[in-house]
Amino acid sequence: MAFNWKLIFSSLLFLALLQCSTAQTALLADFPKLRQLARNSGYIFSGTVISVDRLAGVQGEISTIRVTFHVEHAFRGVQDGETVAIREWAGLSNDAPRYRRGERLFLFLYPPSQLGLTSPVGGSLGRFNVDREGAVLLEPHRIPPYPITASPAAPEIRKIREHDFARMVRRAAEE
Amino acid sequence: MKPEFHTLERSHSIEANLPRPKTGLFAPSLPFRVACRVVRLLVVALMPLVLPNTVQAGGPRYVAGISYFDPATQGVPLTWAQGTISYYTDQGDLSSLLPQASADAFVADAFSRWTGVSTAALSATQAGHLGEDVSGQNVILNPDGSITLPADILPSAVATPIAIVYDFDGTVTDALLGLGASGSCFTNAVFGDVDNFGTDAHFLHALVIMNGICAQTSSQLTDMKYRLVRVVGRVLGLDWSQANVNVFTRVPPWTQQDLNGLSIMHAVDETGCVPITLCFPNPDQPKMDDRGAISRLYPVTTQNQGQFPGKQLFLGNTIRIHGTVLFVDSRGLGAKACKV
Repeated sequence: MAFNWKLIFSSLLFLALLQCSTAQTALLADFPKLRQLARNSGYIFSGTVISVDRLAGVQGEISTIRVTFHVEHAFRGVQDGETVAIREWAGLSNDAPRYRRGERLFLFLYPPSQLGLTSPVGGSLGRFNVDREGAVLLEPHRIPPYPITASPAAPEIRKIREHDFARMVRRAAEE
Repeated sequence: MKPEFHTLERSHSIEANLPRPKTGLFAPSLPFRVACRVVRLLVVALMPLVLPNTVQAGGPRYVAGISYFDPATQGVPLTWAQGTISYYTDQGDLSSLLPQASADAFVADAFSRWTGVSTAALSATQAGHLGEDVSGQNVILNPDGSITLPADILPSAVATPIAIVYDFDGTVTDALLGLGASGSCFTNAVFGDVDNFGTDAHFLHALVIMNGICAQTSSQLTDMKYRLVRVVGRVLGLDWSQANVNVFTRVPPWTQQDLNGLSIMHAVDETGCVPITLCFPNPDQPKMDDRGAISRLYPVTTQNQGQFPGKQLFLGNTIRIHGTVLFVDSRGLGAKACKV
C-alpha cells in the first residue's frame, strides 16, 4: 500500500496546531483578565526600559515620570522596533512598581489622557515581567481559582513563552 | 490572647526563656538538654543576623537617608510630626450615594481605623475643605506640556497637608492615570501618596484621590473603605507587610487564625477577591500586625500620652515572645519540646 505522505504530514501538522490552539484557549479561559486588559488598552507591547526620568513640576505644576522603551513586539498603538516614551503621574507610587532601566516588560497601558498621562491597565495587573529566557511570568494572584479558601494547594508562578503569550494577547485583542 | 502572627515582627524583642533544668521522672535526658541549650544559644546568637531577612511584618515605609535629610535624622522612620494629622476634603460630592457630608464621614471613619489603635499616638482631624470641587475642569494641560492642578492639592501646599479629592465622575482619575482608568475599581478606587517630605524626617503633604465611580452602590462601599484604609495606612508611613502571607502562598498551609490575622497592609490582592469580603473577614479592620506597626511608628510614650487622652503606653503593652521548638521524628511523631 502506498502511503500518502503529504496527507499524513498535513494531518499531523493540523493536529499539532489544534493542540497548540486548545492549550492556549485553556490558558486564556484560565486567565480571563487578559481580554479585559486588552479591551482597555491604548498601547500593548513588550519592550525594554531604556530610561526613566523624573520631570519636576515648577510652581503650580505636578511632577511626572517619563519612561522610554525600546519596543520589541508591538500589538497596539506602537510599532515593532520603535522607541516610545510614556508619561506617568509621579504621584502614582502607592501600588505601582517602579520602572528600572534594562528591565523587560510586557505592558498594557491605558490610552493617554488629555494630560498626556498613562499607566498600566489595572495597576500592576497590566504589567508583566519578562525573564532573561524571554518567558512572561504569570504570578499566582493573577490567576483564579478563588476565593482563597477554595484552593489549598500552593500556587506557583507560571511561565509562558513570550511568543505564546503574544499569540494569546493578539487573540484577546481581536475579540 | 490568641496569636495572630505566623512570622515574628521585626522589632519584637525576643528573650530566650532559660528555664532551670527539670528533674524528676519525666526530666529530659542529658543529651537532649545539651541539645536544647545549644539550640537556644544558636537561636539567640543568630537572631540579629536572621531576623532582617526572614521577619517581614509591618514597618515603616520610609527611613531618612544620608542625603536631603538633616544628618541627625539619619535612620529615623518618616512620620507626620507629633502624630497630629489635619486633612482637607473636596468641596464636591463623592457620588450621588455619598454626597459631601457623607463622604466626609466615610473618610473620618477610615482615619479612625488607625487613630483608634490604643497604643498609637495618632489623631486625625478634618481641618476644613479644599478651596474647590476638584474635577476634570481644573486639572489642566498647559500649551507647554506642563500640567496644572488646583494650588491647594499640589505637593507644595503644606497648609493643606493631606488633600482628599472626591472624583465624582472619574475624570480626575482618568486624567492622571489614563483614559478609562476610572473603570477599574479593583485598583483605582482610591489612590494617592505622600508627595512632599521635610528635611526633619516628617511628611509635609499627601494627596489622596477617591474615585466616585467606585462608590455608586452600597455594595461597593465595603471595598471602597478597605482600599481607603490601606491608602491611609500608606500615607501614615506604613509599608506593606508580609505577615501571614502563607494565606497566599499556602506554605505552610494557612489556618483560620492566619486568615483572621492577615495584615490589612498586605501588598497584593488576588484578582478574584471582589467583593473583598469574599477573601478576607473584616477586611477594613487593622489586624494585630497593623496595630503593632502603626504603634511602633507613632508610639504612645510618657512624654506624649497627655496629648492623646485614653491611649495606653505602647511599651507598657508590648509582649515578650516565648516559644517552643518541637523536635519530631521522621514520621512527625514523638515531639520533644525545647523552649527558646
